[in-house]
Amino acid sequence: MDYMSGSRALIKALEREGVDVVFGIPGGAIMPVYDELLNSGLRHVLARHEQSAAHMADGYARASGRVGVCMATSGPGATNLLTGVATAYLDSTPLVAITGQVPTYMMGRDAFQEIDAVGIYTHVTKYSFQPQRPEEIPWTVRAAFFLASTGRTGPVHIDLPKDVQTGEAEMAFPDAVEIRGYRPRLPPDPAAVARALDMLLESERPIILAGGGVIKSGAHDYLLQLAESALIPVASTLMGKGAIPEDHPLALGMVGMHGTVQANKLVNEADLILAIGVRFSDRTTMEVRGFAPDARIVHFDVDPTEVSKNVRASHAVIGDLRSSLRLLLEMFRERARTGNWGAWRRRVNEVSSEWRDRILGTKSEFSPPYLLKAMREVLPPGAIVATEVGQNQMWAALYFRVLRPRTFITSGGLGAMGFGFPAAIGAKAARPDVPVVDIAGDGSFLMTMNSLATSIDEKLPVIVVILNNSSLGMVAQWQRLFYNRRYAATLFGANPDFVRLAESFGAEGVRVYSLDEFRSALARAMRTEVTTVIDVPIHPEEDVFPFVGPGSTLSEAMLGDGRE
Amino acid sequence: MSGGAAGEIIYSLVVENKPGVLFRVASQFRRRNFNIESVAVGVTERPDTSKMIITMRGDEQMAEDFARVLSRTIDVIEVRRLDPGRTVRRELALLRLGPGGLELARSVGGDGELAVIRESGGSTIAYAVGSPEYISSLVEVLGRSKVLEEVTRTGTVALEVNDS
Repeated sequence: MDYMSGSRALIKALEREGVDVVFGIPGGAIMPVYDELLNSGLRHVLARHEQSAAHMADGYARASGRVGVCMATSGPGATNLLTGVATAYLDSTPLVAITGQVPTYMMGRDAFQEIDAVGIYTHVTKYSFQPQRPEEIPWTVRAAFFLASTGRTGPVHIDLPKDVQTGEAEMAFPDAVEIRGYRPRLPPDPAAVARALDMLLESERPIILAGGGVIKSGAHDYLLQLAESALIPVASTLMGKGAIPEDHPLALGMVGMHGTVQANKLVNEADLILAIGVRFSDRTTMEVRGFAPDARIVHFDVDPTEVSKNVRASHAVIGDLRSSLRLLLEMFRERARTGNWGAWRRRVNEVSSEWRDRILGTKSEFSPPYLLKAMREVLPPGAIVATEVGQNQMWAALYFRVLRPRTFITSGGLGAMGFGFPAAIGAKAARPDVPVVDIAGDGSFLMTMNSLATSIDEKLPVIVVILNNSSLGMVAQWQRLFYNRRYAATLFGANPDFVRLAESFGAEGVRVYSLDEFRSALARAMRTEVTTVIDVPIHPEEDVFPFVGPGSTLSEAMLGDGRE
Repeated sequence: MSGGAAGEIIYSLVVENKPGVLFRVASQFRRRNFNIESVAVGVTERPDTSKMIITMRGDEQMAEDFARVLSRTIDVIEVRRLDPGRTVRRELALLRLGPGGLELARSVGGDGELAVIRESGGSTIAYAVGSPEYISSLVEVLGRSKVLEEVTRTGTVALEVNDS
């Protein structure tokens, strides 16, 4: 037992969790914690907007597999942080978000910078805590990390009233906590796994659909072994990119609204889908009535509420995916036989070889698909790529082949523009040994580009590639296709000069006009010790194809050549 | 709510007895635009544990899926769906009755009981205990005759019968 302040206890508890970096911005209601930070070995990365602080912690967590930590003051600090925490919630990133709060005796009086943070955060976190006494802090921090990092991982919020930070008490730091209503570590039921294998072996046209859960649970190695042993093709969701190396012959790429032709076709021809750590989002399934109409779905997930939430499953295996896939692989090897899949393999090869290297619907060679393929050639396999949201994200999903897990970081569920750049900075803090690139659009970059100051100050150099079409490109694409080219509020009249903008922050800026210039700018940026912004002016009417329009099924993709 | 007959659904939740739990449970209903017909909460034999009985209307598949959502809620320790056909249900109502109200209340039949708590002047406070249907018909009859000055209902409490 130690006698200390709540702030000291918070920092000590974070250290006990192995935290090495915290992303945040101070303010009145969290000053005691910041003051205590100076006495610790924790690194603090100062953001320039709280939303970016949360995205940095998110990028850190996704790149490292550890829990990210972000911090903000009460009121506007907490509301600004919220978008970043919601992003983490929808993508199941383990995060602990700490906000200051007015003292307990002022709560409910509309005090300066007071909002009901627990009320707000409850909806975008696994749990929101508000310790009422300093001695509750050690347990709360342990519980927060336990909740964030187990089961279906996700963000947890701790709201700290200022008097709880300053008050002193005897502190006991628990090694384990028990929460009665939370039982995360259920091992898979072997009988359920065996049944899944039976269904697989009975099938004639099986396909694996890999989601973000594969990467989060570290099940990618078993997934690859299963796919290779059984020679089953693997499609992925956006969050599942990296679950299998995308240059692998069995990899089909992403399924969904902007899925590859081969993935969308073969998912819809399959008679069995092994769905692993996916949640069947509407962007993945498109019209559910036309999603894999002939397929039985065998759903592996750690979260029982995902089963049959969006698409009815024929069978489910609930539990940690790594354990479940290991067991499935063992059982598969013991049975020592595969299904009758020869005809299906020929069909998979036929579709895949026809489509996998095709680039669809571009206006020139200096267009995003070619740029992203060039980027893949320049970057080492372990480089981390973050994306913004919109066309840049979908081009990256379609044309940038991810080779390793945790090297593709994108806001899938919330789709928060402005995510990529701060997330890249957070990833760099986790992995200073690899190049980190943000594939950006000019619209998204403008939302959090003030993080340039953070990347320079904190010596966290990343590379920003702006696919610059001087517009909100994805909305403009929809307006071209569905709104009779009526560009309501999507075309930017005045964009900054991104080269000079970068330079004004102390970063490098360069504009490129050809693929060769792009390659050399990228190679040079990898050798530079500060952040580089590469401005790539692209044709403003480049669209992303394939495109399954809203209300359509996966079989009804537009390919950008007038064909459907 | 998706298709199917909107039957009665009764959830019996064992929850943490601490601030914010009702908010967390209620927000799951709110997010899906489910209307709670009745909710009754009270502490159990363990002071750190409460029980909530929540009733609503909906179809079977929805009720089953939503039970999993409720059980994922971290302050919820246990979720049970009670089978309306094998469940004892009771509700209590306090009634402030004007002149003639007590006589009229006594004339209402059903599965329940009525008793007077206090009388003063022309006004009577009575309580009724019984099936939710009995309480509802009592309130309806008294309300129609303008002799019901005020009513407070507890919401339904329920226990499943053991003899199977």
